[in-house]
Amino acid sequence: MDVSGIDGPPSKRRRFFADSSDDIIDEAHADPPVSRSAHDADDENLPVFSDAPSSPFPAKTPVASSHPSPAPIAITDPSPREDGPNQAGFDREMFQSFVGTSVPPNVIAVLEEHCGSDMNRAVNMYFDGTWKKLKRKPPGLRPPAAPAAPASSSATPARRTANETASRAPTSRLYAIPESRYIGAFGVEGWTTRSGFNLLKHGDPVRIERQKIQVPKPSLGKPGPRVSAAAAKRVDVIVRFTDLAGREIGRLAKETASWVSALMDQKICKFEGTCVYAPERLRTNETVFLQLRCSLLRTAFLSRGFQASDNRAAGRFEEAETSEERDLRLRQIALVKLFQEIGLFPTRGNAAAAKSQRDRLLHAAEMAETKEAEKTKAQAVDDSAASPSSEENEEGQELEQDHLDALYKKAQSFDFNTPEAEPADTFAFSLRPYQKQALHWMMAKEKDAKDQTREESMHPLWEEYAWPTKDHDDKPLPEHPNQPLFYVNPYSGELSLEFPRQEQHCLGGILADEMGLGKTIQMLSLIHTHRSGVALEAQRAAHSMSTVSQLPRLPMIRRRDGTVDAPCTTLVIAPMSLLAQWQSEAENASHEGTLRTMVYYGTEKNVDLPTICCEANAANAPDVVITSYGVVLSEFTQIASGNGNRGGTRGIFSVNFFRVILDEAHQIKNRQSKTARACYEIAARHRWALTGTPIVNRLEDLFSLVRFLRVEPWNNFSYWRTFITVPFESKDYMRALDVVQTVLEPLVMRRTKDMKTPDGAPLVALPPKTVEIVDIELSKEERDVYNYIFMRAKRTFFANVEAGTVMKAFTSIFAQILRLRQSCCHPLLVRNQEVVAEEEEAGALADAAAGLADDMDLQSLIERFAAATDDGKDANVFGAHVLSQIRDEALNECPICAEEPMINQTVTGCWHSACKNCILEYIRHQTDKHEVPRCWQCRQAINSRDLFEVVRYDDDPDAPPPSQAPRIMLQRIGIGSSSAKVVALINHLRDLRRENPTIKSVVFSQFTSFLSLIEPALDRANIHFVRLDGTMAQKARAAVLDEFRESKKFTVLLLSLKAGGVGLNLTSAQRVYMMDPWWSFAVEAQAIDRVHRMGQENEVKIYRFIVKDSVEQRMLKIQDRKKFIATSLGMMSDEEKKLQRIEDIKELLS
Amino acid sequence: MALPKRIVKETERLMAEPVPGISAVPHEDNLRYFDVEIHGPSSSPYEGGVFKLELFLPDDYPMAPPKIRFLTKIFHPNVDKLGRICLDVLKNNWSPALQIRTILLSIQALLGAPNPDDPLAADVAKSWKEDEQAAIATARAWTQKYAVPKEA
Repeated sequence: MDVSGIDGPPSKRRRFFADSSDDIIDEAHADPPVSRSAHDADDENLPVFSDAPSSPFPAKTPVASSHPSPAPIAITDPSPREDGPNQAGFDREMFQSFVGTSVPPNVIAVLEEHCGSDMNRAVNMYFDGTWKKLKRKPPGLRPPAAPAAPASSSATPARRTANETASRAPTSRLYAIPESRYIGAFGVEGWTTRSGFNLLKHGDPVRIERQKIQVPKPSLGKPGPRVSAAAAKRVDVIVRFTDLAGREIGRLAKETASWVSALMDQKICKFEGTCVYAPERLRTNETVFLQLRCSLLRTAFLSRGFQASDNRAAGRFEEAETSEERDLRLRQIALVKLFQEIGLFPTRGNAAAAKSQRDRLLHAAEMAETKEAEKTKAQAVDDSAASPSSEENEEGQELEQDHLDALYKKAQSFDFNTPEAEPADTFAFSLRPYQKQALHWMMAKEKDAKDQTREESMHPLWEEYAWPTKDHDDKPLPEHPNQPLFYVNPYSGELSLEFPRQEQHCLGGILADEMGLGKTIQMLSLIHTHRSGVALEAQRAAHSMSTVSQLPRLPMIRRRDGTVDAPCTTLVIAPMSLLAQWQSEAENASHEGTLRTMVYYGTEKNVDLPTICCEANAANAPDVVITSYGVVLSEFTQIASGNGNRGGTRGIFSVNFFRVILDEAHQIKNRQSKTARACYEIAARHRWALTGTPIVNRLEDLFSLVRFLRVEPWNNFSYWRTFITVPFESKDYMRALDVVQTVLEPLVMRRTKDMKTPDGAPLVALPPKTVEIVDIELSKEERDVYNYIFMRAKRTFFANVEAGTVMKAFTSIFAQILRLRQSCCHPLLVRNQEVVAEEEEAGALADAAAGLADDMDLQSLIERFAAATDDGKDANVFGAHVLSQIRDEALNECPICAEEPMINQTVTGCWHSACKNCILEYIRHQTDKHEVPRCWQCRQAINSRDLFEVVRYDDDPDAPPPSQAPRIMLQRIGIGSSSAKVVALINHLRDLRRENPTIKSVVFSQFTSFLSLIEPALDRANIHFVRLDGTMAQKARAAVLDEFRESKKFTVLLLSLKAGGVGLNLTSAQRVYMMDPWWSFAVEAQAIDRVHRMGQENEVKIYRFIVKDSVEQRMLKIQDRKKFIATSLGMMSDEEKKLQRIEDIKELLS
Repeated sequence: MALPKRIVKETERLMAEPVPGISAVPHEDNLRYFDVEIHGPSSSPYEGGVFKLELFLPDDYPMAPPKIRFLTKIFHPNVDKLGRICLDVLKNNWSPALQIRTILLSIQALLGAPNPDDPLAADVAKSWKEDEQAAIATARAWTQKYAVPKEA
């Protein structure tokens, strides 16, 4: 931010130090250093390091020389004490003989440096691997590196950051404290592991050590216990105490050990013990009392940073909670317990620090622990199961629908009186009122706080503690001037010497409008309307025709964290498929030349983002950089594996953007996913998340967004868990949701399509839609097939119910239901095996289908149907005279039902006409009475095969003009009429074409093979159609959609429900035909919304074809019952889904 | 059940264009039930008589024929004591293209041309065959006795 500008180029060398100090601040709080100068009390401490006489950079000027620090306790302070004497005393030979193997000299050097004469320590370090970390010790800590210093200070940023370790950027203040500092003492119980006389007596000092069971410790002269990995896991909290010679005397009681171990492992505390009481003669397992003096280590104050993914491989057992989070949790519990034990209370805290809060904290942490344990257990049992997908592994209880509803309802209480803001004049679109309101809100969010000088207040999560001045024996402790206080965050276990400032408000938020309300456009208007000062300056300069060279030539300035400010650039992260759309929308929404966009993807990634986006290049920097989640992830992985050095790269992470926008932000709902972690790390001043579903099904989904937005304090998972997850899981829903509500309210703006403005007008006026259910009557042949399958399915099902094997036979039962549903569409589907692939249970189904196909009875039924429908040649050889007579007759009244004109005029072999249904009903009536049907006019016997439907081509655009009598054709009934459903569809379409010869329709079916059966019928009726299903490649699909959109004539799109359910925009159609019902209406509704969505200008009519008295009709009932239930939202486990399905099936077959 | 369009249409037409010598009026509470009056055709033994019939349209009308019966006593070989009528179009020769109007015309015609070869009332048919004049006289007498409206 601005600080780097102030520092300016000349201060480069100085900045080396200033930067590293800011690093900590920045990473911990993302606080602008500008405001820092306001707090003297704290800043007093800052320069300490820089004035340290032994600093490796004597040449540099102190950042704030007005605060000379008298304390020579900087860097070198600890070093001489330890390193000095040690260097002389380290006996390499002895070390080698202890270790037994040959150790590389560089390793020895490291150990030597750190352990000095302490051989025990060196050996331990060598075996437990801590030396590896020591090796990475920041160079600043190393003894006199002075000669090299100037070089390194002027080195490239890359070099500099490389010198720092990924996670342990040293903070200046750390130099100012001793390696450890006493904070208190407490008594503990221990038990002995050896026996003997006078091993320990009152007042004896003991060492407190961590047992590293995995590594045998030859130095202790004890055979290394053989332990299994499981045992290692069990015992890894053991803390033992030894006498000064290093002999183990005993261990701390487990209760204490559990947290003491964590503090030791994480290098937070150092413990020194004194024996308070021990019996003279010790026996194994004797209780002894110790007093532990606890000192906080300097390392406790090191911050943790860019290491997010280091622990990803931690393994399955910890997947639910990352090992990083687990460490944090352990650390947090341990610290809280420690402070309780030593009776240290905050000198300043917030309301949140009340004791009850602390209890709650512990409670929360413990809950997580038991949960972990349960999970581990469960997983151990279920060990053979395939590794669970990350999806399943998400933790956190799923939200019930009504909770979700309640939550949304609250979040949706949109205030229609919100003021509006006008977009900048470079923005080419006009906004709707509600979009202007959003713009106003977003501008307010972005401009918040920064301008107001805010009162200095402590961060709500932190507590202030005073360093004790006297120890437990009331002896004064060494004083450390300027450092009377330290700070603890009991929610995260973080420690700090810096005053934790209350964060600024998050300068962004979540725009959670429902799909179709124009989130993209609103964001683009923001991009246009709120630009940084630098960007405006550049814009003005460009306007006044000044050339780039006239602008002050600023060098590229790296910020403390290695990023470069990009004051003009907004980064947009979107799913790959939307990149092009973002770019084109961005361009369409801007007057020419007012917005530079760039897609950062694939080969176009080959640019140097810091260079082109930096302030110096403001006049030419892209305003919008569009990239995909994949790119972010891959760059993140690259950096994380390359030890977290941001500065060394040229990609996204090397830039501090003016604004970052996550499109479809629910993509990061899983906070453990790498993508989410990558997004958290993106540096930007303003952070926005766009999503229609901020909560998909867990409260944790929201956490991830909040963390991305860096909303204090909720981006702290421990805090989140304490106040939201735990109450929620303990069924304290109202409290949890209330808290969520307070979190959401300032952050989220959400409007839904069905919202109404105060004057009752809908937010977005969509034309009306009507849904009509069309009852279909099966023909006799179809009904026979249907009944046969129905009885069979029913038998199977209830036999299984009786035998209690429903779950086992699930697939075969389900297959039969599937057959049943197919038989409603078209009997031929039943024997069509292709169709099988369309259901998940494909494998099992294939067998079931084979079973059905082999069935002779069914086969004959189907054949009968087939015979009735595809009878040979069309005997369309009639004299013109007969035809014209018939045509004229059509306008007459039906002799049977008196309809006028006849409905689907049909003629007998003796050329007498009536409605088709009348004739068929008459024939049925007569046949039922075992009488030969005779013509109602001439009493000739009617041959039911000799019935001809009169097809008029008056709806056909290719037909001759209306001046001539419409062409007619006789079509033998059965042929071309396909199944009842197809016939109904064709009739609907033809009626429609008669009314409106250019309208377009979409026909949905879940069975692609049914679509294939519809095709010939459309052909026969001369209806133009295109088709899109899941088997087609992306390109082919696009071509189909283009053709459909551009078509100017009557066109039908055949669409499989699965391929067409999501994403497509089919607003050029106005009719939707749903050929078969799906289990939940939500799926169908989504399909319908492809047509009835923003951009639709006409009324939409939807027809749902449902076979009367069939499973389809019952499916409608099931749909009604659970219109809003879980299945559609993917909120049930597979097992639950099955149970639910079985209930459904019972209902279907009853 | 709603009244089928066909019945509505037929009823309307019977009202609008009545057939000479025939009237059919539906009951108000049951539109499928008609009160029918047929005038005896001239130069037949039934001349001068007004015969009451009842007519009922079953649910499967017009697939099935209407049910119809004389209420007025009549001496006719094709009508039995209960008033049931023997007429092929009311039985096997029914066609859904036939209507109330055509059926009533057929009955009227039957009065003009009794058919003792296809009798329903065997005794009547027998007397008709044995002594046609006597039978006609009886028919005439019955008409006078039962079918001629009494002067008010």
